[in-house]
Amino acid sequence: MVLLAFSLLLTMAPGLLRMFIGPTTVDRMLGLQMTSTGGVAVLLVMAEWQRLDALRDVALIFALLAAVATAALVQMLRGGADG
Amino acid sequence: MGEILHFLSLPLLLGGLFFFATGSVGIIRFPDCFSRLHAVTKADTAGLGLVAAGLALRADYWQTAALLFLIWLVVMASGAINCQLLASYAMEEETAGTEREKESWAEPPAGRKGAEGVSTHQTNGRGNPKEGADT
Repeated sequence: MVLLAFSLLLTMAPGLLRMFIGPTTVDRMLGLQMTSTGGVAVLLVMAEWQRLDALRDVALIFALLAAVATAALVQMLRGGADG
Repeated sequence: MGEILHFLSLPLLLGGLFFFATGSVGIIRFPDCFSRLHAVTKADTAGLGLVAAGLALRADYWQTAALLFLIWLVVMASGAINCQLLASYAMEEETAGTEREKESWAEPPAGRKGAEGVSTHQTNGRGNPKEGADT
């Protein structure tokens, strides 16, 4: 469980790197989505590892916020391109 | 029974980790933003689904497994919808004119061009007093 949590943390790092070096805005948002999904997975594994049931609720809220964030960013970019 | 389920959850967890690892390799190595989208979607659905299934086999109550399934559903739906939005936005920007593409996408290169212009002005400013000193 500990190894799995740390390995999932390591797989979040390329998403962060893509957020920094991404040439386009779409690439940055893809890095954001990759990082948020990795964060949800790490929270679920930590909830099992540390026997903290509240972390599953945190993961659920995190997933909902990540879903809203990308949709809102795309809508904002489209509004900025049109007007 | 519990030990059997623990043993069965190991390949699922390792498979989820494998999908996350391939997604993170793909988001770095793939050349195009559409192929990167492909890699991210695999990590979202398959990776998190396998991790959630492996953890659901280890859960003590069925409510925990239901919550894990709900989290996977939310992430999968948001991943599908957001990838459609991002892909359609990228297609619009690609089919739009190159000037609009430069305006909306390439803001940092435009800033770099401005910085280069400033730096050339500075070198000109540095060059002019030298020329003046030479003359």
